Amino acid sequence: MQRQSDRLDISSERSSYIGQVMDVKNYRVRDWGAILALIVLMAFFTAAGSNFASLNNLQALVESSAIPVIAVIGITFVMLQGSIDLSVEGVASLACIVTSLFVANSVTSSHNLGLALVVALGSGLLLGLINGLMYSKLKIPSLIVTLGMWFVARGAATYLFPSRQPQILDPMLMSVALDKHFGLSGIVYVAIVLLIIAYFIQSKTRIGRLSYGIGGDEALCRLAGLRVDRIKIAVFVMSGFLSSLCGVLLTAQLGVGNPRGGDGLLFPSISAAVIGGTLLSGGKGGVFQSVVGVLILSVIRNGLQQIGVDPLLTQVVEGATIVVAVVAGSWHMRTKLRVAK
Amino acid sequence: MDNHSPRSAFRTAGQAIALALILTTAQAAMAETKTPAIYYGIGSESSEYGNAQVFGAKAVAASVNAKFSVLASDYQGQKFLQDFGAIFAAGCKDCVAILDPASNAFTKALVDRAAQADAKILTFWNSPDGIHPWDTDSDNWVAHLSFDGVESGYKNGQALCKSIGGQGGVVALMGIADNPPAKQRFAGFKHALAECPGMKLLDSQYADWDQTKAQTITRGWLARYGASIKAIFAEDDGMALGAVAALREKGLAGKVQVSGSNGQSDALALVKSGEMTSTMYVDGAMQGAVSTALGYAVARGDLDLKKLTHAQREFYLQQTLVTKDNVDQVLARKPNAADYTYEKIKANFWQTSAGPVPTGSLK
Repeated sequence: MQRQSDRLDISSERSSYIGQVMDVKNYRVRDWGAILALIVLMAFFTAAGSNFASLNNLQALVESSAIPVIAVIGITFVMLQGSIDLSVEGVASLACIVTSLFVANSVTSSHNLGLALVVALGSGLLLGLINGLMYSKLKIPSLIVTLGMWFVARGAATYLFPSRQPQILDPMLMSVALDKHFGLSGIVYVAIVLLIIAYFIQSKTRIGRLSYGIGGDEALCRLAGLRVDRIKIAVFVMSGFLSSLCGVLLTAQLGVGNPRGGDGLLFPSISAAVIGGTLLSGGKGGVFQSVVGVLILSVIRNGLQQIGVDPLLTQVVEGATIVVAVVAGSWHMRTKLRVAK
Repeated sequence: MDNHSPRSAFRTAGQAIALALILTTAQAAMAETKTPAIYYGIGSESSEYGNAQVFGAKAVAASVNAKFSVLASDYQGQKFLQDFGAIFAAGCKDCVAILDPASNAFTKALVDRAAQADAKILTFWNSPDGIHPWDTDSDNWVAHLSFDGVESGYKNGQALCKSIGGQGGVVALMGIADNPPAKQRFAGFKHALAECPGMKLLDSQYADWDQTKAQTITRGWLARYGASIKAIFAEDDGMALGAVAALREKGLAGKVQVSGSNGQSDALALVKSGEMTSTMYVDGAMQGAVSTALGYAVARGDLDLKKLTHAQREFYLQQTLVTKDNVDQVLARKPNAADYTYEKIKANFWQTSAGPVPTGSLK
């Protein structure tokens, strides 16, 4: 009896801890640092270069941020759980080449946008599901599973590449990138809608709340009888789906199917999430913080171009600014950010 | 005791004869399989140019029944050091390695490894200025082949100048900073700029040969310079396509002139539609075929390296500037495997040479 009551005490203590871990609202306040950094950067570039704050340039900035925002949403949920999804670029590239082969194009005789979307997004869902299953059920670290999946998807994209880039001839797909509504393309609106949905999932559903819990203390969540594996799988499926959506939108944006179309999505997304305040160790952060991170990176790149920094120095300045932004924005979290000890 | 019986003596003799027969046959078979094995290293299997090279090289290898394998570096020389290192590890006397080292830094190391394994090696694009096939591992480094980047930059620059009537702003999308073709193309472009005083270079940025990056940079330029941009010089077709994608978003495709380099089919289609002004077409299939034939000839002893001139061991291959005037002709070219046989190329290995690589151009 004594033993049982001890157990009950421990479990009630732990329940309250889970409550703290999952207290999403508290984390919003902590991330003013990143937003402050974004404001400072924007103010600096506005003062330094007359074109930065022009309507045209802000449009360019938002357009260039739209696809990275979609990628970062998926990766944020994965990172909240303390996992990582390295397969983003491979899955996006695969979706890019698959889309281009199924819609009206210059290489194959197919012209079926619906089928293209089903196959491209379906492949993202499937690869995400495999990632999630292998990670949660076989207990293989997500780093290894998704690294492998990155190469699998990349290899499949190369295999499907018909020796020349298919040109997209489907007007409906192209219109997503080219037709402007209030000055912005369909891709931007897709990103905004997804951001709202993601915020809803993050704060109002079990997937979101438990992602914080798993990142904070997975063992505790399991002890509390929560179905951790299901949440893990759901999050990887979501990330796979969003990566493949990035691939589809990249196809629309580039106007060709490129088997390396997704390259350059992964590390900026992870950096953006970290800069925004989503921890690599999990448990803290969120989609809005990560989006602020994406905007910081876009503003730096665009701003340096606008003020005419020597292109050879751009990367140096970019890297240094990122470090300064992170240090300034997350000084209070510096010990927690240190994942490599 | 049974071992000494006449019956067993017969059996032993029979076994000895059988063994001798097997060894002789095996030796004959080994002499027959002395056909060189070709290991062809490309930058990426996901590029039209890489696939074209493989097409030409494979056709030549097939015409002589040589073993043919393809390796891809993904533009990382380190990967080739490992992959070719593994192939060379146990010695590779009858091997021919044909590859783009991806960066100057890896050329000497790869050539040295081939020499240690006594394999023959041919290189493309990347080679430091101080070393040449005739003075470095000269019995193994057969040749270095490239395309003249300076000519590409110069002629595309001239085409842009002409298309904007010699007046207006131009921006340049560059490849990777420390890359010979990128540097050569920009040097050629600057030469064209000097000859076209009305064409002003507004800005240049590194887009790392990346389509999406080129698109993002072009968006930024359109915001910064607006209507002052009359032309965009891109060091390859991938980046040119990215620039065209950004121009399309603003309804400026076809109005702002864009040049590329490499002559991939989607860029040729844009030249035809008027959304691109020019590109420099390089014949990947011919490059693959010529290099494979050269390597095979040396490995088989059909060519004696000591008798070759410097111009035969380090040379540029011919390339064609494509504009609206000749785009249909170039688009009509369909590579045919029957054109790429060892016998046909052997008639004159240097038929498609555009001359020796000048000193100082490989930096």
